[in-house]
Amino acid sequence: MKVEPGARELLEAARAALVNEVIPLLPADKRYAALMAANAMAISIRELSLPATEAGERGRLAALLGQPASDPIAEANRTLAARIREGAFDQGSARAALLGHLEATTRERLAVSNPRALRPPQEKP
Amino acid sequence: MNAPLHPSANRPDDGSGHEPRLRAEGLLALACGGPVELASWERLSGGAIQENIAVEARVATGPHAGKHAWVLRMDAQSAVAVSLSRESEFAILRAVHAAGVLVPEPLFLCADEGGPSFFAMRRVPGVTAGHRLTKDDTLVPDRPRLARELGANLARLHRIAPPVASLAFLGDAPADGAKACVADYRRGLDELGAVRGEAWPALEWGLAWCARHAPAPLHSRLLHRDYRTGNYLVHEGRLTAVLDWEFAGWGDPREDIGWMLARCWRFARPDREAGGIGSAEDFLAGYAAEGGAGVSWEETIYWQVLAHLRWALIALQQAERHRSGSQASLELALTAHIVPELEGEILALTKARP
Repeated sequence: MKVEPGARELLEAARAALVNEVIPLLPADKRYAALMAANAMAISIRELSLPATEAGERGRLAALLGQPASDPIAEANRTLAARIREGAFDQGSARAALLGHLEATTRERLAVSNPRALRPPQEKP
Repeated sequence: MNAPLHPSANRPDDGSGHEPRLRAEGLLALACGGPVELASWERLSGGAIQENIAVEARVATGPHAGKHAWVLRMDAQSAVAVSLSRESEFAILRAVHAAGVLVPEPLFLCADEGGPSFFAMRRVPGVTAGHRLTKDDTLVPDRPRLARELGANLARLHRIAPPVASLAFLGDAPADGAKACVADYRRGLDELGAVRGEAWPALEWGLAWCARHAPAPLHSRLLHRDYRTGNYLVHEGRLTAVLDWEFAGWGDPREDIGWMLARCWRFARPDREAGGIGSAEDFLAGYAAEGGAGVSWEETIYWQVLAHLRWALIALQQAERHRSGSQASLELALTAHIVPELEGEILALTKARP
């Protein structure tokens, strides 16, 4: 049985120590590297917190491709990418289904990489 | 053994590039026709690809005698294949400086067997930092004016049309810049996909959309290809120089416009379309007033999509340099995590348009 606290809790504690105790003391020219390290830890914590991320993507890929999605999922994404390039999703309901999938997948990726960007992007009217 | 008779020879090695400094003094002396002492040597924060070193040069005699503030630009440890050599970048700077584009004046190209080639340019005052320029109104008191200056300066660059004999190393101009970009970025994704067995469906969607919507091409012009906030200097509210010409090449001039307007380069102010500095209207008006093509906001959307696609590809390529072990770097690794945001922009811009 694995020892607790495990990976996620340790990373959270390590990040808190870095942000609260170390970064305030750093000279300006070292802060950037430390802030990058804190950001990398935050991404890792979010990734560890969302173990089921790929389940939804897998289901949507199977629906779009009309066949069970591969494991690992990368193969199914390669197939999808090739079909997009061939123009199979250019129009109509195929296009709408693809965009729905891509938007959902991008939101899931943003939830790990950069949740602040989850706000809907603004386009000039 | 005799110590070399050289102005810097007695300085202690302070870890600030002592040997490169001696070499630079020697090469600059040849270029200047008189002994050169580099009284200071300060690394400026630069790109991951090139190093910029600010120097105070003291030239004892000859046509350049006097004290000068120069910047030496040389390759950092790892160069990227798509970027130009220092020799080529120097030729570009000379061409665009002659065309009236605001750039640091290029002075001397220095090369020998002893190290990387570099060139000297006149140091220009100003701030580059994107988050400061977009946030701090004391740095940019008149934002419409700076947006117009950025447009006008780009129009002066885009007056340069192929062929130019001194820029022959750039190769042939594409007949259709948009289609060339789509083909280029697809090739880039294929190369990464072959290495990693991965694929990027949202980027493929953006490329398919761009392939379908390619506009009638404009004649190729000289492009900067990284014309954005962060790559130019602003001093007392005015544009003083555009930096980092290593990606310059021939293409559709609207490619540079889309890059400047794309949301990914607006830093603290995504509501200001022109690089977080000012409005698209002012930028495009400055461009047209200086002889650039009249381009509407709606027309720029296509090129903004292409801009996000290109930045996403570059981000993936940078992350691959870390993943492959060729250059272990947390900064490069984190760059991959910008990609989902770029994908979101591509989806938002293309969704409402067939």
